[in-house]
Amino acid sequence: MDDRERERLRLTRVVGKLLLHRSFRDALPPLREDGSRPFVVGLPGDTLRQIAERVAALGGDAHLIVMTPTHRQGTERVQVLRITEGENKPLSDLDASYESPVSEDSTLGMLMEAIRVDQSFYVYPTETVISFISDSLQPIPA
Amino acid sequence: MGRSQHDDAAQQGEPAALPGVWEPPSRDECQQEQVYDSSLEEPDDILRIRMLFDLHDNLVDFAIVLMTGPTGAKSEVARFDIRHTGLHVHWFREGGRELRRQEIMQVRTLPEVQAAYNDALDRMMDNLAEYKRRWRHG
Repeated sequence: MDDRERERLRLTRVVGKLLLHRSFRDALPPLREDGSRPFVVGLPGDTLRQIAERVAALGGDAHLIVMTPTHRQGTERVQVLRITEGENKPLSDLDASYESPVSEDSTLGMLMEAIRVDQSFYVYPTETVISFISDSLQPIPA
Repeated sequence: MGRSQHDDAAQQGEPAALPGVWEPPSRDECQQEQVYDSSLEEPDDILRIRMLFDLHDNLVDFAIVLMTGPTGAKSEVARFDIRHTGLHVHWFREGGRELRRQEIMQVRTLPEVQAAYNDALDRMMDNLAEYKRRWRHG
C-alpha cells in the first residue's frame, strides 16, 4: 500500500468518526433507493478518472468527501460533492450555465480550485457529473 | 438494523444475550437506520457502517462491516457489532463460514456504545489486510 492509500484510509477513519455528528451526517443524504449513502474519500492528487472508477465500484452514484486541514486548531475543512455517472452527451450539448466541462485527467486538487458550491462539472470522456454540495468546518475526532 | 441483524445473528449461532449487556431501544424510539458504504483500496472491497440513533441523536446500535466481491454479490469478511455480548468481531472465511468470534469489550451503557463504535472503527481500519488475508486463506 502506498502513502496515498494510507492517507485515504486515515481520512476514511476520520470520516467514520465524524458520522457520530449530526451536522456531518446531514451533509450526506441517502443516494440509493435502499436509503444507503455511498461515499469516496478524495485526495488532491487523485485524477477524476480514478475517482470515477471508485464511484463506479459503489454503483455509480456517491458522495465525494474532500478534507483539508485548517488554521483553526481542532477543525478540518470538509467539502462534500456528489458524483453521478451521466449519460453520454456531446460537449456541445452541455448547458454552460451550470455544467462546465473538465477532463478526466485533471486532478481533484485542480477541480477544487475551480469549483464553487452549487456548481457542477461534466467530466469527459468518463461521462460523470460532479456537483459541489457543501463546504463546512468540522471538529476533528480524537 | 436491529431486527434483521438480530435474526441473522440468531441463525449464525450467536450466544444468548448476557445479563446487563446493552440492548438498543425499540425501533419506534429510534431514527431510521443509516448505512454508509465507502470504497477501499481494492475495487471490490467496501467498508459498510450501519448506525442506529435514538430520537435524541445518541448512537444506540451499530455494525462495521468489511465486505468484498462484485457489485450485488458482496460477502462479509469481518463484522464488528455489539449484539448479545458487547463489542465483538466476527472473522469470516471465503464462502461465508465464520472462522472466529473475538470478544473485545463489554457494552452496558449508552456512553459505552459510542466508545465501542470508535474502538471498532480503529480496530477495523488497523486490520483490514489481516481480515482479508484470513478470509482468503483461513
